[in-house]
Amino acid sequence: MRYRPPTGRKLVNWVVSGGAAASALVGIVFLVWITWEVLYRGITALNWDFFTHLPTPPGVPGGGMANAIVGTLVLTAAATAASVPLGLLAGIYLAEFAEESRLGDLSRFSANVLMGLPSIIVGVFAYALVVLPLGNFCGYAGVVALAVIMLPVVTRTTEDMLRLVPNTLREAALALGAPRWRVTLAVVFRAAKSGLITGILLAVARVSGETAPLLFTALNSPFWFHSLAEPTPNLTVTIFNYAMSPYHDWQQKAWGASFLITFGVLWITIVTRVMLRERKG
Amino acid sequence: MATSSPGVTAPPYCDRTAPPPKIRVRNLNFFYGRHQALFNNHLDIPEGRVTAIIGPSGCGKSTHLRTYNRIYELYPDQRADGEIWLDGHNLLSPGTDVMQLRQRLGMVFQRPVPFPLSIFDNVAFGLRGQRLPREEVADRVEGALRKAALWEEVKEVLHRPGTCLSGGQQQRLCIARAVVMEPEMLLMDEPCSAIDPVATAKIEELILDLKGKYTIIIVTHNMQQAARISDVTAYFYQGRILTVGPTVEIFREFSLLEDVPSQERLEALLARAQETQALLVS
Repeated sequence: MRYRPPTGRKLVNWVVSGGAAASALVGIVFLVWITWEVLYRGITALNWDFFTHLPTPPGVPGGGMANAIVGTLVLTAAATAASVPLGLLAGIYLAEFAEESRLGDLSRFSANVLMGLPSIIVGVFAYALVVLPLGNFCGYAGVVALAVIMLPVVTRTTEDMLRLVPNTLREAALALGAPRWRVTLAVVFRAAKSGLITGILLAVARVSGETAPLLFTALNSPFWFHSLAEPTPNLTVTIFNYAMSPYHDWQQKAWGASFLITFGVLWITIVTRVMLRERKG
Repeated sequence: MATSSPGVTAPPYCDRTAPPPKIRVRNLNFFYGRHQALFNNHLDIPEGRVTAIIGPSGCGKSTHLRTYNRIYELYPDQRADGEIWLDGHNLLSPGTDVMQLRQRLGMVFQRPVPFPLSIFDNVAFGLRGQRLPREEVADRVEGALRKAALWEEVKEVLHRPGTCLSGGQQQRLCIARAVVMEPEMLLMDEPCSAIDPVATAKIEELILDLKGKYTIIIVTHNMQQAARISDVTAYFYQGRILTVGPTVEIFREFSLLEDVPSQERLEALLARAQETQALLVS
């Protein structure tokens, strides 16, 4: 073998792999940086009052975000309750009944488009649909906006997870003379259970950090959560307001709320990961 | 149910001495999309006997069996035409109550497919639609598990998932699941191909036990198995039925236990079957 000096091919190889590694590193660096900042600054803002008290005006010590925490939980829960049954049914339709139908293709396409829709547009849509006719900002409008964002996520993951269930299972259940709906609910659904829950949790994680759709709909409120018919306090819009304010103690509280949301979503993501891994194993 | 006899030509083979046929298949063709998999199948299945369907891989054995309970309808591109008469009713006709049909004809598949439910619920699954009292469901589940020779092994662990049983046990669970419906026939699609010899022996014993009460059709790759348990054998080749007859005769004629029939002989038989077909049609 004759020694050959590094040629163009080797150089290209080096540049490409080096570039890829560097890009990956940049992504990871920012992720770690953000997580660290939120953790470091947020955790110092958290104390007992943060979880139990109403917000105070700037400069007044103490106070917390109990109302916004409750409000966010209520909004997310209501949006989940509204979108999950619809999404599951739509997913069942797409996976079990509409393999090669026009309506099925159309619904699948719409769900895909809806998934890529910027959330602020969904917010404006809910504003026009609910806030304008009712005449005031209210929690219901926020629920509608969040549910519209969750719906396609639940639909598509449901469809994908049901499609992973092997047809032999459907055949075995159908061969016993069971009607199709019972085969789907009692056998196929159970077989796909962990995947379906994963899909729902991912949809929850997706909307729990949404701000734009709430700005136009639920707005915010410094008072206790009362009813979805009024402006509803929530964490994300509170972060938006407090972080933009010139007051140092409000900015601190915004960090605390960011910490809560970031690690809430992180926790949900980890749970879904673990569930998916168990499914494979 | 309306009793009208199939007004078509006689099949190549008719078992005159045996019990009346439970099923008469006439002129059955089957298509996977544009690909035709079965050609003009004629077959009589005697009641209360074990009928074996044998033949090389891909010759349409399973496809043939899967038309009896119309399970192929799960796939929109699959289609059967012809007639399958079950007690005087053509089950391929559009008016057939498919769910009732499937309750009458139990099916056991190649691979055991336990549902993601407890052992008890696996067996009780088919009964759930009938709104039976709890005690009756429990009784029938026990009865079916006994018939499937599984009761002694699982009576303590009925609440555990069906998936935690061994392969052979799972297949007997699937048989219990079919038997609990008290079907008239059992359609078995290579029920022993995915399990070990000991479990296979148990299932064969089971088939011999169930014979007489049920009409059984078993698709099998295993010639010894067909010889051991069946009364009648149908030999499939390239989507056609080459020959049908009492198992003993078929096995003597083709020396199936010693050797695989030569390609030339099969081709000659195939040509003959096609000729007979042409004669029958004209």
